Amino acid sequence: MIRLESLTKRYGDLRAVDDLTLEVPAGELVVLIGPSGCGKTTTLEMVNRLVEPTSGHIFLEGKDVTRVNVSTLRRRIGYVIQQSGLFPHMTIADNVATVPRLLRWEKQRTVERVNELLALVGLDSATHATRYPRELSGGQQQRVGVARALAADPPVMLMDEPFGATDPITREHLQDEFIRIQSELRKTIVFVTHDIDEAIKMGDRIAILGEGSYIAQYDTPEHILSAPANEFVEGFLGEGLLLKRLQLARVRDIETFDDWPKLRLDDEPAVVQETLRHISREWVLVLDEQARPRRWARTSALREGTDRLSNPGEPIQTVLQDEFSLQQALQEMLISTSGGAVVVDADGRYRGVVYIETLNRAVRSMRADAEDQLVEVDRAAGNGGARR
Amino acid sequence: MNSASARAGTRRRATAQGSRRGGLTWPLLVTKPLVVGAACLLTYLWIDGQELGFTERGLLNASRLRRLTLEHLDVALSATLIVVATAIPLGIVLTRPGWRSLIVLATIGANIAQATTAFGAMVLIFLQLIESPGSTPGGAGRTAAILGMAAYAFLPVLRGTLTGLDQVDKQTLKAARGMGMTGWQVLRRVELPLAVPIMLAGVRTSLVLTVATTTIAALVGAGGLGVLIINGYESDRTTIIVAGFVATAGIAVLADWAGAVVERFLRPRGL
Ligand SMILES: Nc1ncnc2c1ncn2[C@@H]1O[C@H](COP(=O)(O)OP(=O)(O)O)[C@@H](O)[C@H]1O
Ligand SMILES: [Mg+2]
Repeated sequence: MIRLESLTKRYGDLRAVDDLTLEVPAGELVVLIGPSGCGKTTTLEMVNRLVEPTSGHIFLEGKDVTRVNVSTLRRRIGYVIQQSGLFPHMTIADNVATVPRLLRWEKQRTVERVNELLALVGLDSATHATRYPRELSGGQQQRVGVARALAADPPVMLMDEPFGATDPITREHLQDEFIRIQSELRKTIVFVTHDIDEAIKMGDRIAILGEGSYIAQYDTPEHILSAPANEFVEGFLGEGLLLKRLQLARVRDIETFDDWPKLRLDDEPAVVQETLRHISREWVLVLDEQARPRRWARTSALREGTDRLSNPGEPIQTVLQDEFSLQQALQEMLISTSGGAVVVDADGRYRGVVYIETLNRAVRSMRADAEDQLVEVDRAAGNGGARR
Repeated sequence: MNSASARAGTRRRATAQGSRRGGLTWPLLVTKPLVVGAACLLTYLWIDGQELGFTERGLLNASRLRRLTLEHLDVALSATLIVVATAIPLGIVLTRPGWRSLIVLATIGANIAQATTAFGAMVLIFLQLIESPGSTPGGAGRTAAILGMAAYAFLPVLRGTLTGLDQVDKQTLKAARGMGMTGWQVLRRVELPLAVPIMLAGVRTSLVLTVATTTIAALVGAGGLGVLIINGYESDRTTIIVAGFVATAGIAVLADWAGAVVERFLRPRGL
């Protein structure tokens, strides 16, 4: 857990960070986001004391570290910066081994740890360990940066726009990879970005900062998206709020319906005829022998025999799984023949269909939930709206 | 991957590394020494074809040439050594926080030392030394020559050290400190290795400067190849002046070549 208490950094008359109090719960990733120059980097660097606070305190796992020895402190804090900051004259293995060596680990332990970490960030140590940073792509360098920060298994990580210098596609990859890693390691992380989509994607909580690291809103991405605290936050979230909300919620969060008529390839002909007779909808869903969705078929064509159950037809391109975002669900609905998107379980078996109305309802209830919570928080805090 | 393609891969990487080390390939490595050798040989043949009088025979024999060359190298290399041992630490200290304000002062000092000609400095030091009790003219001359040359060649190394340390990427340094390296560890493990190429360039400049200019050491009695030029002038023998000139130019070029070789091998891999 990280706790910043009345943290202030002044440069002459400028208050780069002004009386910031913030708590990062253990095992969570907290994103600091705000306009350029608002004090994000200064805040982050006060945690590992690359910047010494003018006043205030920093607590790490309950201990006041505002005055402890900096080198010892920093070796317990992983640090990742933009452009990776790798040492160009050291091999990838030596870069990753930096902190273990500072801590005087045994050679064998260090070597094993380096290999383990390279594997964790998706780099093959046989081909990469003895290379130099400049021989790697930007994305690979950033992975090494993450591996290096994780080397001594620090409980806390500080990341300053770690993926900021990579192209959008690489950035997506790095984000996905890091989400996977974090879900295993559960570090306590402060993550600085200026990209709201990245903040929403990565953050367990987001602190939206204004001038002097003033906290405009500090909450989960869901709540921030559903109920922005003020105009500043709204402005920061930008256009397409609804889409961002959809991006955040998962298919598992909404209701699926099993009300669509369906036929299996191995159904008896008699059963098929019987079913067809009772279908009132224009489309029927065809499943294969393992109950996996195969295609949509026109009911009338099957009845009249111009289409047969076993015809390949137009197979369904994409099916949804529980962890897909509602944005993907929406996309699927918009192109689907029947207006519904098919959901399958982990083995690819048909589980049901989701409809656009369900999506709508989900978004509305997300918003209502968040507002309820806001009212509660305000009541608990005893102030009638101005949240700080 | 089968072993053949693995080997091919290694070879490809080795070649890539070779070219990254500044293209230190065989032709380049031997060109300069060959040119110098050829120049010396031509000069030798030319002098050998002349009618040589008694004076020339006395002044241009092999053992005398060897002694003068060694004297020359002694002064030049000692001066360079002193410069390296003082200018680099000074440059390091000046780039530490709290000392930066003195950079301008130190640079001006080194500039003046270079501008006031090595000869002036030498004579001044010589005159100081010769008056101190127990000094011999030869010893005082050597010391004066070395110190004069050192003052003269101080600036390139100081400037190389300052520039070399200043150009190290600030993000890289921040990362180093942020991971818990102490100031000393950052210097030794990150700053110095990354500054090496530019620092060495300064040392090389300084080395060539001293080797070429040490000819004037002859004027304070410290010997060296400058003696040949003075001999030639005094006895009005062009052959001797040419021999002195070719020899000095030859070892200056060789010093530059040696500097280049060292530079390429000390440059950290990966840069
Ligand atoms: N070393 C410094 N000296 C003076 N001003 C600084 C220094 N570092 C940062 N600042 C100022 O503090 C403010 C916050 O900077 P920073 O934390 O880097 O912002 P951000 O990371 O949010 O873009 C800026 O106005 C910046 O100019
Ligand atoms: Mg910043």
